[in-house]
Amino acid sequence: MIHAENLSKKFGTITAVDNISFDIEKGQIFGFLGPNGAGKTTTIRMLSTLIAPTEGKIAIDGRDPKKDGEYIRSIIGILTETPGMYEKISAYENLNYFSSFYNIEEIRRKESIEKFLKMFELWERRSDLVSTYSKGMKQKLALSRALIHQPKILFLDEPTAALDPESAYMVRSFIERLKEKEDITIFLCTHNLEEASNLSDVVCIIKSKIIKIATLDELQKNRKGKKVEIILKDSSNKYLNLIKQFKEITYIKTDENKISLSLENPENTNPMIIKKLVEAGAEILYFNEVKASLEEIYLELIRS
Amino acid sequence: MKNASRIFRKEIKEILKNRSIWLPILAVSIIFSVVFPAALTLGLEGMIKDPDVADFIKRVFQGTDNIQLAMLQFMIKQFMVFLLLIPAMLPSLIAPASIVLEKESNTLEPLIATPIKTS
Repeated sequence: MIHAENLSKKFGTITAVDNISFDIEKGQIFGFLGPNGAGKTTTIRMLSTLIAPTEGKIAIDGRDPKKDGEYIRSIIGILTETPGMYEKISAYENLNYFSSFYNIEEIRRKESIEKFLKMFELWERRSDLVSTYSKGMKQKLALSRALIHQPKILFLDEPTAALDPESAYMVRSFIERLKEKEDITIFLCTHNLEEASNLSDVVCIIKSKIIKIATLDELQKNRKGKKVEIILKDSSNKYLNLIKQFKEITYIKTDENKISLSLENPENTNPMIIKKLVEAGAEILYFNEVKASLEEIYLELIRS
Repeated sequence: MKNASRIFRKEIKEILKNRSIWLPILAVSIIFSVVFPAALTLGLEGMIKDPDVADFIKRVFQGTDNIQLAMLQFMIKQFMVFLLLIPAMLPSLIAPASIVLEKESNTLEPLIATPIKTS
């Protein structure tokens, strides 16, 4: 659905995006992560035809933005970093105005406006000027604008950044529902790693260049060290010296009856650890692999 | 063309709700077409009492019976020219205001992300 090949964008001497390539399948949620200034918003702008790349090739739904910009803009919805609504006109007028540029029958357009305003609990205040709205309300309104024409591709730049926890949860649930029901492709730019981890099919970590692009499972599998947690019936300190004998263990921490380990090659080392513990008389209640969170993986990759 | 008229209608709606744009135009028009002529009219009687001014006015408006009325008509005609300022000021205020408002509310990006012709 989205194809980017050797994409670069330079602003004078600054290279915001440096030779990135990726493919996003139809219906996928593509989590696009990176620190501030990594080129996330610039990439969204290039993919949504707002700015032209300095180098590289883009294809959206198989079309070239240079030739078919209007078509591409008709099938995408975009939620920019700032809500960008007209403050001096009402919420309803805003949505009516933006949606009027799409080729949708007026009756369907009005139904759609009503549906989204009701869904985001803004219907009661539809006639109020946007200047009287809170930041979160404006964000919900901007999200409604991005969805009103039922786009095939949705670009979301920090969709829950300004929202309270309840609204953020609602938006996340809505994105999940969109993925299941509407078969929509979502390009999700976020700093919220938990959000990216829960929603994304594929995660791309960028810092001008692509650092890593993989599914969360692949990222966890390919991680150098693996974490293991052992819960014993009695105090874990008794077995500390025994476990320290294993050279494969890179990190060890005990806490009451819990031992946390980081180790290389767990498939070979784990059975040996269990055997040693049992031989020493330890009663093992649980032996779990602790999967690394996206936050841990992200920080490791960014720092390295 | 349809899209251009939609944008135009929205601009007008927004500008009408933005007093800082239309108030200066209205103020200038009122000052030149109402306040100044009214002030001069009120001061006309005093001016005519001055013999030198009266003599000058008589010479300018030769053959006129009612000098006071002729003087008033003359002044109103002169100030009516300022009403032409309105159509001259309107576009020069609206055009930058439209761009500034778009920039201020960050709406330019979502607008050009819609399928309107951008080139």
